[in-house]
Amino acid sequence: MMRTALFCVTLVLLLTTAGCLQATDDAAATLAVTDDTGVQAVLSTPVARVVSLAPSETEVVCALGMDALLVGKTDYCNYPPKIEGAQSVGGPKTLNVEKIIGLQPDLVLATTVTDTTKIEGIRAMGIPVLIFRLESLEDIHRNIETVGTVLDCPDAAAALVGRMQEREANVSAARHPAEPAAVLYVLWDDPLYVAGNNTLQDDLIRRAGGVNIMADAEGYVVASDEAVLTRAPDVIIASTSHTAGTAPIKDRLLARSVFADVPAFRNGHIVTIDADLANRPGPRMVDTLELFAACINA
Amino acid sequence: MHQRINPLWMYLGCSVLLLASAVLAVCIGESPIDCRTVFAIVAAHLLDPGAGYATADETIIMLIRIPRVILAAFVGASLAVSGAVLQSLFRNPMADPFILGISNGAALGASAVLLYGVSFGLGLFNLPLAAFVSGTVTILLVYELARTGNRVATNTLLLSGIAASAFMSACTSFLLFVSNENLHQVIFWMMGGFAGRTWEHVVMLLPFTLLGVGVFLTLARPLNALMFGEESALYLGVRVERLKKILLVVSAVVTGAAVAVSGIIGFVGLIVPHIVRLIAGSDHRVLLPLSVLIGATFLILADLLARLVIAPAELPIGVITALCGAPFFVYLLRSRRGAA
Repeated sequence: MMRTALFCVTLVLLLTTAGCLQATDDAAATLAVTDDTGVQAVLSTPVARVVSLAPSETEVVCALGMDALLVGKTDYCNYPPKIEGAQSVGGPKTLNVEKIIGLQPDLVLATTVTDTTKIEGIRAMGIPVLIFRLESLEDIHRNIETVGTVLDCPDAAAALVGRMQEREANVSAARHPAEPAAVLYVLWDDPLYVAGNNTLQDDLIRRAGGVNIMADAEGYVVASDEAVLTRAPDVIIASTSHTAGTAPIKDRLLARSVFADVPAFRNGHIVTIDADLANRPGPRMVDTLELFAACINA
Repeated sequence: MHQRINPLWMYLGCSVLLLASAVLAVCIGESPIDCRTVFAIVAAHLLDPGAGYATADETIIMLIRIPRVILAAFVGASLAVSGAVLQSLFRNPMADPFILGISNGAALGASAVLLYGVSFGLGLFNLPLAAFVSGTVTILLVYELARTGNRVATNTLLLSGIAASAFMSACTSFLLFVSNENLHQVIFWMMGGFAGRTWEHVVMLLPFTLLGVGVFLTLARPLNALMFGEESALYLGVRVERLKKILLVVSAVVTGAAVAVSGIIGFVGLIVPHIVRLIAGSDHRVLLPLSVLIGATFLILADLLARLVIAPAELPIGVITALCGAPFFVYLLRSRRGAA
């Protein structure tokens, strides 16, 4: 028994070593990329099979016109609505590693929000994974350019980023009121879960000419009611959630009588944006920026 | 037995402590409002309760800080006194208000509301009601599981509690796993806290806390008898099974109401009674009132820290209660052992 096991192990070792040697033979066709977490992935090019583990990455691949390369996506990749040939590999917490490996991808795209234990499992099979940290529009540009490089469509990526930058510049160049509006971005109302510094929405608020009243908190945080009262936001932007059976977030916020005298509440200046658009760090974030600008400078 | 300080002095000391921490918690917050203004605002509204809230300061003091402090006091008192009672009932130092599965039961109800929008058409009160109902149903279930005829063996009760807890917790995990919406709400709720709580919540909790604390205090003597064992208590004239039923039902209702308004705040119900026992002994006539006072004080201060540590953001209060409570408890435990 022991002997057989030993033999099998040796055989496997021999086979894998042989595989490695073969890979080094055509080393010309590899590409080394360092991702946002500082991990270097070595891809064999051309990349023909891509699995995306984040809705934002699915959007990037499709915006570059490389839909045909996508063999896997998540249950939450709802834009573009239909992608031929891409199977679902589960939701954010229910990623099926076996299925991902079974799709034999040359490359897996993920973000820092993706479950790291699942990523370890995929990397352990020798499949390269690129993880993107997306906290600003600059990060999204870099994400698009990197994906453009690895999918061998740098021109499409440069064009897409160029179009985004042009629209971003238009937003920044627009005339802002002399007194910048105080803005609060709300992801959820109870507890008040809001965007602080180093978040996408903080970046959008700045670019749109507003001041994020929670910029002195780091990341997404629960804001104290008191902070909202004293910092008196002029505008509140909230993302809509899809929970059935609950009142819209705007109504839930307006029902909070303690905030009656906060300018945004007094003037009814509470705007809701679809959560997919407002919270997904993809190429459509520039649409979101324009929506933010319209709310903030209204 | 050690020489104890006169209980009257302890009541006085703990009351002063409670009052001081309440004043402190009303005066300190994210926005700097000086104490004189705070007192002026409170005095003005006490003299004229119908007055509106003209300034932001008034709103902050009267509609945010004061209800929070009162709510924290109520929840702290409820959990601590229930913990003390249940530890005695089970004669088990690990018992706490959540031992019979109420927290995991309530968490399941809360998750159903938060993840799937299960609604009773009660708006603000959907979540508390769901938590309360599912928590108390769990306890009733546990009680029925452990009952044989008209008797309930405490050991069986404890074990069925553990089983029911595990089962409810598994159901919640499953709900969390298959749903991808609103996860952080469930997590926030399970870590407990008073963010966004209002006078309405205070009014909701008030009758339960008063009733519970009142009932428990009148049962201090039979609880003392129970400490000698159920049989001895029986010989001392205590109707043990009836006492057990009352204690269980009341603690279930009181804890359920507290969990409903604050989420699950661990540690208070476990640690506060032990702290009181270490300083004041285990006579329930002293233990129970002191647990009320110290539980209230502890949670007021914990909530103050939760508001201040990473202001303008808030920490979940469960983080504070465990971080501060555990080392303090270990310190007490060790210093007592040295003295003994």
